[in-house]
Amino acid sequence: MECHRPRGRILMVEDEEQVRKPIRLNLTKAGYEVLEVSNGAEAIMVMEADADAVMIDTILCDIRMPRASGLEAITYFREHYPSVPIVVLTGYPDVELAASLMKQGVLDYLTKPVTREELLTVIERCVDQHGLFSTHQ
Amino acid sequence: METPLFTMRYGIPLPPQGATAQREGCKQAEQALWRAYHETEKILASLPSSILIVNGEHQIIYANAVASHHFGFENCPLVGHSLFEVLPIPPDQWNRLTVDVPSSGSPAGHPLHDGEFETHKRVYQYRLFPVALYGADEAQTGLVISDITEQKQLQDQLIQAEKLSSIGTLVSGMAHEINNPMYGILAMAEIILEETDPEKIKEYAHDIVEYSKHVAAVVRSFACYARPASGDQKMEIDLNERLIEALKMVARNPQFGDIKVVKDFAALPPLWVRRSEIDQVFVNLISNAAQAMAGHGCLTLTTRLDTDRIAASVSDTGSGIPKANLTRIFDPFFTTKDPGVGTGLGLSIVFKIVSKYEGTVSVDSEEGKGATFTVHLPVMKLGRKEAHDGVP
Ligand SMILES: Nc1ncnc2c1ncn2[C@@H]1O[C@H](COP(=O)(O)OP(=O)(O)OP(=O)(O)O)[C@@H](O)[C@H]1O
Ligand SMILES: [Mg+2]
Repeated sequence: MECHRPRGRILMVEDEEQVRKPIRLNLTKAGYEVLEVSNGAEAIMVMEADADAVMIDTILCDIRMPRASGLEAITYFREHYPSVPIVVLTGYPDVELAASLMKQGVLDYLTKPVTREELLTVIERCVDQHGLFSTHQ
Repeated sequence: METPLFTMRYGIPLPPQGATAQREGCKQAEQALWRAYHETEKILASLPSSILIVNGEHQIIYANAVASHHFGFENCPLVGHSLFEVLPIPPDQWNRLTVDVPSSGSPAGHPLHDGEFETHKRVYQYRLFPVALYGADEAQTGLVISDITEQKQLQDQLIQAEKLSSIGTLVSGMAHEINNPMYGILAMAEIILEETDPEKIKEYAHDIVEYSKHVAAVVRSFACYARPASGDQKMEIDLNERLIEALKMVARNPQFGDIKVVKDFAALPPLWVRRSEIDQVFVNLISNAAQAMAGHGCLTLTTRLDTDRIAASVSDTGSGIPKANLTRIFDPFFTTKDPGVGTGLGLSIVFKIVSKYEGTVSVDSEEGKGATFTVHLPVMKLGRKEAHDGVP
């Protein structure tokens, strides 16, 4: 098999392994590189550690998590990394929350359970969009 | 020396001595009496509450104007009627309330007994006070009756709002709790459809089995939460005995390991409660303690009897609870445990049951230094069978 450069780098913020595992499998198989953290606080740490080197193309973020919830992390990301698209993946369909997140600039709002096709379509769109605005290849 | 015009007795002027003085005095006394009577009547009539006084045979011997206005029949004075003809107060409730109203003396320092009744779509609260009318030798009881309809409605609205918000928390927690493994199941099945390696397929199928079990566990504990075991009658229980039973149930689990158990029990009066609910409380507390100790440590079960309440505590030497979590552990679905291990409903169930019995549950813990959960239950409320019949 030929070795591709990854199609993009995804930061997955999700506290439950039962969700992380299939996402990891699906995204890796589709050619993405996946970084995993299990809460908002860790996500912030990863981004702060070395902003240039990390070069995240899209953040896929759960909302309800122990320690720094998804919402806190999203506010932080929008402030510090406004060019990185955020996709919210949550277990609870909450229309008001979805609307307020969209206003904050979250690109997409997915409700579990989501099919692989939906997930990949949304991720692809975000990564492409990020590619348009960012300088790195 | 001048003779005083009146000598006062019981606040009522007595006629003075001497013939002319007597006639003159009598007239004045009569006027004063009338004045006093009318003033008292006016005061009683302008009270916003109804006032009734009944004798030992439950016959109304006094009613103020408000009472006649609210509860009187057309052109018919209340006085002379039986209390139970006029107000829809069940006689047995009345008897229970009046049994320890002292037959005479001032009500100061004596807690007023109160009850409620409904008539013409309005809710009234009545409070009892002992009355000793001059010259009467049998016991009399006074009632102050106030209309609490609006107050009640406001209360109901608050309770309703509270219920709705806790349903909201439950539903969102439940959705989250179920949709995570549901996603795992769906996604793993999709992956299996395209996987060719039989070992991988086996692994993913195994994941699906685990996720499905998790969904089942969530639904099970949710069902318990929403509806406490029905058909379970109240009975007399010995709390010490229930603690031992709860311990046995938890210790059957192999994960209990070699935890040492210390029991420090006081003799307790029996409680009139639903056994399954009390068991649920202590099974939850003991299994949390066992989980926090991960198989090693010391579990202490203590019971104490204070004057009016029982204290039962479950103490462990486990991981303890970080300060930041202390306010959240009683929330439904708050858990720090892995999915499949905890759903986070345990302590919220404990809280719900204990509150229902008008008790309290408190926690004392420091990270790394174990935790102690203490349940307080009121003895008076739960001790006697008849005292507790009103509680659902
Ligand atoms: N004895 C204890 N020691 C340390 N932490 C505790 C203890 N009891 C409860 N906790 C903390 O409180 C949280 C909530 O407890 P609760 O019993 O409500 O849910 P759970 O034990 O996580 O799940 P479930 O009881 O539904 O299996 C636990 O996850 C744990 O973090
Ligand atoms: Mg528990």
